[in-house]
Amino acid sequence: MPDNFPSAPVQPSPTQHTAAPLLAVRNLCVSFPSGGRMIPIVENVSFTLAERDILGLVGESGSGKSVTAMALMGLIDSPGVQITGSALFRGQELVGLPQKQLRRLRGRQIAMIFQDPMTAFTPVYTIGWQIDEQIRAHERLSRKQARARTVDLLAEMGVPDPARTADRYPHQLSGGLRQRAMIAMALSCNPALLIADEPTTALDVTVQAQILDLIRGLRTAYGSSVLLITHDMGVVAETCDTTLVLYSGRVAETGPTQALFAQPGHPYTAALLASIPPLDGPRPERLPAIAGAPPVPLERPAGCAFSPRCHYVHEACLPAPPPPLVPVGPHQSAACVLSTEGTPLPPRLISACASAAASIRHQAAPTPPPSHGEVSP
Amino acid sequence: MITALLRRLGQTVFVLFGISALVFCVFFATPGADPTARIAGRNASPQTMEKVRKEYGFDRPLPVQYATMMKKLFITRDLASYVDRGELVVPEIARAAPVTVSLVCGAALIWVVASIAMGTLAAAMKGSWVDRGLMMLGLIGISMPVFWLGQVTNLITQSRYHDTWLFSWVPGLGYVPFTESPLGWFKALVIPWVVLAVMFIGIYSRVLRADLVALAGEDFMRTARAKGLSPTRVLLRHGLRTSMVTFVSLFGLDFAQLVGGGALLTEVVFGLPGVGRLTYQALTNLDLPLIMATVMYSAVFVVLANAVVDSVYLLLDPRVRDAR
Amino acid sequence: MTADCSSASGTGVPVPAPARPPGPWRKAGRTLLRNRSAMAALGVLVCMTIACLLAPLYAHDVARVDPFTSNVAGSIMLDGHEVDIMQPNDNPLHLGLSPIGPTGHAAYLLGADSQGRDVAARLLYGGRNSLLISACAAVLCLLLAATAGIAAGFFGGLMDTVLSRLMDIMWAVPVYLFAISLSIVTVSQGLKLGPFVIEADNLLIPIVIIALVYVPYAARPIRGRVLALRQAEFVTAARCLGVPRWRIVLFDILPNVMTTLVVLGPLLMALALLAESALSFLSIGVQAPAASWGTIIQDGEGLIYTRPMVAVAPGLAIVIVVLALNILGDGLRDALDVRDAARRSS
Repeated sequence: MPDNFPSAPVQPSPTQHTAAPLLAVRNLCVSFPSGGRMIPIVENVSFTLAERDILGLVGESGSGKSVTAMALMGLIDSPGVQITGSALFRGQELVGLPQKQLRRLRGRQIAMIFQDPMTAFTPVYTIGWQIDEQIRAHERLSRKQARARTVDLLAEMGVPDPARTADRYPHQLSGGLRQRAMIAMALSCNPALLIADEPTTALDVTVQAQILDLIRGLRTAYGSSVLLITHDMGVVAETCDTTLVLYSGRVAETGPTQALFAQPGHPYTAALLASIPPLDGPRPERLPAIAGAPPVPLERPAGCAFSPRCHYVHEACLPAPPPPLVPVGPHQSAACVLSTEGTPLPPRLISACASAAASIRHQAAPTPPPSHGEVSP
Repeated sequence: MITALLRRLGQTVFVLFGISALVFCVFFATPGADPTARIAGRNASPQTMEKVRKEYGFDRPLPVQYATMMKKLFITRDLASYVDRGELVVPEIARAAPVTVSLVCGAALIWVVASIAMGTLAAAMKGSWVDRGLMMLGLIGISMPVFWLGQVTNLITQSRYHDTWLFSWVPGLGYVPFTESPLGWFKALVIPWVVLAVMFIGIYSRVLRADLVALAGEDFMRTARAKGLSPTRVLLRHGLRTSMVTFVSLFGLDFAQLVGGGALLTEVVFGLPGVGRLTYQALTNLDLPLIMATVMYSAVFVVLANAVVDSVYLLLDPRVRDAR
Repeated sequence: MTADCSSASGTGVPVPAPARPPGPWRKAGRTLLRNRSAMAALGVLVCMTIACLLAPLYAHDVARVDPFTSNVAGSIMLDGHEVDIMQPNDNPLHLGLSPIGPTGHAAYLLGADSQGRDVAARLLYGGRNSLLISACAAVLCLLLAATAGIAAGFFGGLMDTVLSRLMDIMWAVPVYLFAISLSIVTVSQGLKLGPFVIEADNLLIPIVIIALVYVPYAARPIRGRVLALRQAEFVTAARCLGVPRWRIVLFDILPNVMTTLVVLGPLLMALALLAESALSFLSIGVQAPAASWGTIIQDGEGLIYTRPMVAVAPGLAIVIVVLALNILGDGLRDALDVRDAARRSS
């Protein structure tokens, strides 16, 4: 290991004393070639993630949230893909970093957990073997030492009988246990940043809550920052300090979760929040849904991408440059013309914010989880 | 576990019975294959015919004849050929089997090593000219009739370029037992090995590449890359190891078929007195006892190989292990 | 990732509905047309077929030879000289005779075989038989395999058990040995099926035998596909609507199995061509004096060291056609997106 970071439980990061964020993404663009043209999947996405912060990346499927994460990890290797912009991780530029150096970061400084724990482990090796493999890929440890750490990690993730579980194959574990093992594997080298790509989507509701608790606890126990990718507003409300709403590959709105939920600045955010069932008051007959579907990348409108589905659409939304992000509150900005025109969206009831979080927990209905706070119409 | 084993055994017996009955019926139902006429000779008198018929038991009902033949083949092992009088069939196969096993094992070693190397390399360099070139080579290998390839290599190594340094070491066609001279054995077999392996290298490298490419899109491969493993390790330890499951099942069947006589054309072209050639001779002579014996031998091999493949499967794939 | 992005193409936006998207077959056709190697393979196949169909024209009007009768004592005119077809050997004593080698002229372009017949003309005539047999065998095999596969996969139960066991038995015998056994039995006597008598030299015999032998190879992937389709939601939906079973098979299962069949077609034809040549090489396929590429290789076996062209030329023809068929099959598989057809079937 040419890396000179010691592998102590809490890494004394060289940049910790400065105020610089852990991750600063500026104007990240990802485009894929198709039929002789470059199709922009992610356009000008910018955000910052502070140490020990949890940032929620929200959007419908196809909004580019997973592609953003994969681009940060350097895991996109389809031929001809174009990634531009900048992503500074502890002052190191990730975009354009050679694979060899990226590999040293992956798993060690930036770890990732995936949506479907059923398929994320190689089926022919034991869980323990796979966690050992990651540890030994980054640190000089004997098989025994690695396994000892694996068992410790599994125990900390709340896996019962960790030593025996480590010797089991992925298909022998339940989804929740597998996701815990996945998180254990991601944390095995004390990464500074954990990217969680829909970590709870494939799990049932009670397990979802446990896994979210686990992720929330990581910053105190491990000092990790988390980039949480989800389509579930309920999960965001429960977990994230900051929220970034993506729509069709562009940032629609970003801001502190509390503020954003209390007073969304973008009609899309508002519509998303409106589709969560309220906890108090009469239950509506039908939850409001957003009509239509997000545009295919090639057929994006010239102006605001949300305009075909927006209640507030008018001439100012349609011409070519999409509306820029404008501040709509302290630390909060939205890519919408409404606030500059002096007609901002009305604030939501504050209780709605809390109820959004609560709805996930307490409405443990027999229906599968995505039916509640799901974004897609 | 016991029931699974018994079921397996039952299936095996059923398949063996089915094959033997099928072959038996085919040859007895065939008008030209009347063994009496063959044994008695072309212009035998009706009396001789009658005598032969009695002596060999051809006048008895077919099921009885079938049972006698099976008893002679498996229990007393004194089944004799109809054509070469008195030639016992079982030792004849025992003499031919080592030739075939030598041929097929060597070829299998070559094709497994070569196809894994080619398939993995092609998958690793997917889309490049190396990939396209290797896969084209594989396709050409699949497209060549093995007997023709054998003839062409004979032409090159035995005649045209035999006097050059390159092929002057090649011995004449035929087999040298390993016990007699290990070096001679190797020299006699190395060219047949390669010729037999060519087609399988083509098939296996293409299957493996397709498998690896399909696996590259799997979640667990992405996980492995996200863990910070090197591309080589991701491809070999995660990708290749997982695709070995299909590879082994393919291999078991092909290997068994070849050992069971499927290498016949190679044996014919290179003058190797193996089981395939023996079967072919038996077939051309319509020598039913020998046909019966060789077919049963090959069926036993295929069935055995299936059992071996299943157990290797258990070793390779923990999911199957638990399903039992 | 990319799939994630492109799959979100709903139609809720009030835009004028575009023209009906092209069906899967049209789309596959377009993909195939863009596949240069597959198109080249198709071109090669068409050229080969046309050349073989023109065999009589070549024999009568270009080479002016009779490719079916022995011509050991004959001679031909080359550059105004009369040349014997059987020529003394090159050895010092000029012992024995060898047929004439490639002449570079219209007559006996590729030389003569051991019977003094024009190899080039026989090559074209042989190609007719080889292509005819392999194509017919492939089609027949697909018909049988589709019937068996759909019956086993869709109806399941006893039908599946019986058919699967039958396939097991067929699997346990090496393909070539199976084909050889059947050929030997029929080649000596022909086949008498009640009132129908098939002569031993009838091409139907190798066609039927090769088709039969490869049925398990084709039936397995088809059965697998049908089993998957039976669980598919549109079939369940059709059942719930009370659609009769034969209609489900005909209108829901068959169109979906069709892609597998189309992909299997060229691959099976390639296998059949190789099998035919092997049988003919062992002189239990196409019977003399008719030719096939396999029989010509067999003719050339004895001449391999003196006149290698006799065996090499038909072999090359086989390699070219089988290669083209395999490339075409690959192209079709990519275009129709059928994954595990053929050879992955164990």
